[in-house]
Amino acid sequence: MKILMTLLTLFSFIYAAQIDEFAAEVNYLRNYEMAIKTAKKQNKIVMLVVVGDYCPWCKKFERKTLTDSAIMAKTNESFVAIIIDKYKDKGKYPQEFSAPLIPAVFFINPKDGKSVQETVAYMKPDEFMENMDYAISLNKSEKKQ
Amino acid sequence: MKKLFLAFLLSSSLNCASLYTLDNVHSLNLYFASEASFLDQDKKAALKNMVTEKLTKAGFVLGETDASIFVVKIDALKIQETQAIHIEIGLGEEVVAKRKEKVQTFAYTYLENKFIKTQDPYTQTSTLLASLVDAFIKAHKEDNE
Repeated sequence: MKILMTLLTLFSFIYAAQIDEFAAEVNYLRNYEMAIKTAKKQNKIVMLVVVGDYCPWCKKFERKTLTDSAIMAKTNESFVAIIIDKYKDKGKYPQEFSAPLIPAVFFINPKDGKSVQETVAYMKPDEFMENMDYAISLNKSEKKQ
Repeated sequence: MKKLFLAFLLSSSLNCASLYTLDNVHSLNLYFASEASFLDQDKKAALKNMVTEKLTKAGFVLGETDASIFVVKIDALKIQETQAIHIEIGLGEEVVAKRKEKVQTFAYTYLENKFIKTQDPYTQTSTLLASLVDAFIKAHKEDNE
């Protein structure tokens, strides 16, 4: 049974979509409901990354920005991150997050499922970090109120 | 205020140099191809020298074995007194494609071009080629900061 499970895991890894491989690499979730649930539990913001498998800017955003060590540290510390394919994952996430331009990132308050901050297009790590900090500050000020 | 902040970040992100990833490109081999009738041997040599100088000044090492190929391709079609010119630069190299069994293939990992109609073909070609090379150098610098 153990051997069968190992083989199945190996098999699924070999044929995993690139988005699944990337999610596993950077520790992002692939399930929206799970992300909301986890964020509520951990009192964090959901960071929803919307990409497309045909989109070169998305690939660059993944390679250069989301895997940057400082960005990864900040993500793990303050957010519950999830990555979805705009088209392939259609129906598995709220349509209000089907951004017209990708890559797009929505910082979502898990309590009401509303976006508090969005980013659109490729961003370098330092620019994206500013957005993460801004989303955190918005969330903090909301908590104070 | 939120919209203003978003607009600022969006506009700054759109100034990113290139969608390609040029990390760790240090050595190049220049491949210059042109059958354009307005370019005689001296003019070709002058354009080649200009590209070589720019790349060398930017810190690239030229002429090493197995370096990535920096391709310059100039095509032209004379229509009465006007030349229609297509100038293209690219970075060609052996890559491992994300296909089954990790296929190794030659691929362009950077590609930009310009198309013009002019009655002053050499001057215009020289100017546009210089701007294409400058854009490549800028993109490389940005990716390797």
